[in-house]
Amino acid sequence: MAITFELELPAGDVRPELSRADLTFYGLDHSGPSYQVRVFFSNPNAGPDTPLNAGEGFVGMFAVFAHGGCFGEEGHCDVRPPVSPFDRRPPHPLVPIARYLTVTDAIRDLMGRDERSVTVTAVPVVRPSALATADQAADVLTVDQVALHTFE
Amino acid sequence: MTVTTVQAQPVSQAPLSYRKNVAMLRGPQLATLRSAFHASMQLSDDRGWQYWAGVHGLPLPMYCQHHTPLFLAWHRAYLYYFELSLKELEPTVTLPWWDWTSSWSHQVGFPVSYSVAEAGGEPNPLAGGPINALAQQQGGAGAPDHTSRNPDDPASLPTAAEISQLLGLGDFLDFQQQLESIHDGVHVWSGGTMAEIPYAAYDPIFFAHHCMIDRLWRLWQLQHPTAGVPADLLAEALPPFNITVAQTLNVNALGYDYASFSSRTQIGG
Repeated sequence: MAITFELELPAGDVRPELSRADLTFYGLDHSGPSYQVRVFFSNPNAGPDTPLNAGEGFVGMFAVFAHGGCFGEEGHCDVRPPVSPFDRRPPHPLVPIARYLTVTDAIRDLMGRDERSVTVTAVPVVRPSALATADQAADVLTVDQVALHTFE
Repeated sequence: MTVTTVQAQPVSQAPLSYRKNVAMLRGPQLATLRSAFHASMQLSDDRGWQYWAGVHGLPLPMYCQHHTPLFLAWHRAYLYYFELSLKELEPTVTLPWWDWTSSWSHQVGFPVSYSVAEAGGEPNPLAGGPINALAQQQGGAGAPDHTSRNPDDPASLPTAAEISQLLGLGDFLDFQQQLESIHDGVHVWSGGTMAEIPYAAYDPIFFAHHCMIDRLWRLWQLQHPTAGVPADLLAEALPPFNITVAQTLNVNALGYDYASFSSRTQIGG
C-alpha cells in the first residue's frame, strides 16, 4: 500500500545552494518479495499505474532485492539481538534497512519556488517473480522514518 | 641430501585473466564459456554449479551479503571462487560482464548469448538451468524447479549517465549503497528467479550482472585511489570463503582485471 506524508523543506533566511539532496527511507523490510518503491512529489493519488514522468511528480525510484520469505523453521527469520556484549556474529540478515534516493533537482526546484513542505507519496510495486505476485505490494512497504538530508 | 627450492612467481609477473564485455566475446571465447558452465552443471558435488548457485541462496544457509557494508567484498569473493571452479574445468575461461547501460542492452535487454535456447546445436547452458532438489524442498510449495525470467522494458535499465554520476562519488559507503541500489533494480527488472535472493544465482545471467557490479567497483577504485573501505571492515571475514575484506581490494592480487576485449596468442613453448 502506498504511503503519503508531508516532508518539511529547508527554510529560513539563509538557504545555501544545494549540491545534493537525499530522501532516506529507514526501516525497510526485506524479508518478503523483492519490490520497487516509486516516489512522487505533490501527487497523493499516485499509484502503480501512474506514469513515471516529471509531469506526474515522479522524482525517482529504488528497488529492494529481498529474501522472498522464510525458508527455515519457526523463528528462523526473527531478527535476533546480540546474546551478549561478546557476541561477535554479524547482525541478523533481516535487520531492516535504509535506502536513499537522490532528489537534488526536485528539491532545488521546490526551494526555488519558496515552498516550505512537499507531499511525498511512495508507491510499492511487486513485479511477478518466482516467489511473488503483484498483489503482495499491498503490504510489502514498511517504513519507520523518512528523512531529507541536504548538502551544500 | 639435495634440497630443491621452487621460486614462487611474483604476482606482478603472473599473467592476469581479463574479464571481458559479453557483447564482445568471439565465437571460441563464447564456446569456452558455454563449455565451462556446461561442465560445471554436470558436477553434482561441491565443485559444481548447483553447489555454487546454492552458496548465494537456498539451500540454507544463505551466505550472501545484501544491504550490509560487506556487499561488494562478499560478491567479489564469490565471483573469484566460482571463477576458479570454472577454470578447473576450462583453464582459460573468465566470467564476462553484462553492460546493462549499453544502447544494445537498452534495445534487447539480456545479452543474446544468455538468451538463445540453443547454441551449436546443444541446449545453451547460459540460458538457465534446473534448481536443486534441496533448494526446492526448502522453498516449499510453489518453489521453482527451473530458472525463469520476466524482464521489464529494456529502456528502463540503468543508464550510462547514472553510472557516470555514481563513479564520481567520493565516499566508499555512499558509492556502495548507491551501486547496490542499482544492482537491486536490475535484479527486479529481470523478474523470474533472478528477482529473489533464494534462487537468483541459479541463473547464469546472475554472474554476468555481478561481474558488471564488480567492474564498476574496480573502476571506482581506479578513479578514487585514496578513498577506501573503512578500516573497521578490513579484517572482516567473508564466509564461507577463507578471505577477508582487505584481501578482496586488489583485483590484480586475485589474478584478474577487466577489459572490453582481450585475446591472447601463444608465441613459442
